[in-house]
Amino acid sequence: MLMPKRTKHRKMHRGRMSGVAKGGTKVNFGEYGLQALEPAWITSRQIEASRVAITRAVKRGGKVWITIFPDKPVTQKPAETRMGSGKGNPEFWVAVVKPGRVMFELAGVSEEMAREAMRKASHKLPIRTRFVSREDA
Amino acid sequence: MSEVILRALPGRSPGSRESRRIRRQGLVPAVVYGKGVDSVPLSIDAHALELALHTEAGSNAIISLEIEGGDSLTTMARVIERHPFRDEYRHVDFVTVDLTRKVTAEVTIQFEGTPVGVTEGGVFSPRRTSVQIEVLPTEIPSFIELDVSEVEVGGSLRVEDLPELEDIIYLEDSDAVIMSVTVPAAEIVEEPEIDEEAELLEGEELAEGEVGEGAEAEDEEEAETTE
Repeated sequence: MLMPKRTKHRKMHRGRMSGVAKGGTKVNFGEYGLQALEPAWITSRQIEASRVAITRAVKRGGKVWITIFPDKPVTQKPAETRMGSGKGNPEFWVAVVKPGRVMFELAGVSEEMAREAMRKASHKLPIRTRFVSREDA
Repeated sequence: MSEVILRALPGRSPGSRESRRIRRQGLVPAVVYGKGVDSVPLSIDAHALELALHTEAGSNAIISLEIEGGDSLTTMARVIERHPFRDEYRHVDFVTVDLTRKVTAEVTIQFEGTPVGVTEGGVFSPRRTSVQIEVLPTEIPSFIELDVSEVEVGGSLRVEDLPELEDIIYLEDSDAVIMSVTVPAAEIVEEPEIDEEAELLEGEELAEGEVGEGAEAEDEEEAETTE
């Protein structure tokens, strides 16, 4: 699963997810992409599940790019713990995704196959997405 | 290349608030400028703009901008801002062009044929789908054809391999790779269904701290399929 090798700080503030994506809204590496239509925290597990879904759908052939990276640690307090005593422990990593962000790219396969692969990948994500190609994104 | 006629309304106030108001009315804020022409803020009908930028020439179309109550200018759309995910234009910069002077334009590359390497099992990977050229505005091609049928696995085509066309100068580095045929990633082998009981018995036999071979092999297989 994707996660940073080392970080300056172990814990991070939650932050806000208002607005739309400022960059990464076009298909840059491949021919087709999967674009987010809602803001969300995408966990490293969801990214990995989508990647596996894409690579399985295209069988052999094709090249996949993951254009988001989970660089934000999310903390959780243990179950049945009283409030207080500081912030919880880092449990997983997320990528902050805003509407318009292209998350996965694909090349070397037909459009039909790419659509099917991206449809399967979208089922692993907690947000609405759309299929985009290099011309229209 | 034929000219597209586009009507524009002058007298738009600058600013984001005004631009939002214009967009709500089905118009797109725009601006026209160029050599010897003062910058004029405009607003253009969104549907007409969509049609003007979707001709055979694409975004390199020569647009005759008819400003209401003013001149008609020969222009090209240069900076096109789009909404991150809605299919709508947010702002367009038009630059006046002299039809006798060369301009730079981005033209798409159309790959012709199926590479030999792909039929042998390689993966077609396009590195760039467009190229910058210097050409007269009236001579801008809709696309440049590149025959890829002879590329083998591990082979590639560069900017220098693009066809030499009359009056067209390629502005990119001649060594820049356009497409290549790469070795395919390892095939995913479906995991065989293992009887749970058999797996449990096997797990008991393993000494503490020892990892089963199956788990490692599975991880490796997943890592191979990343590309």
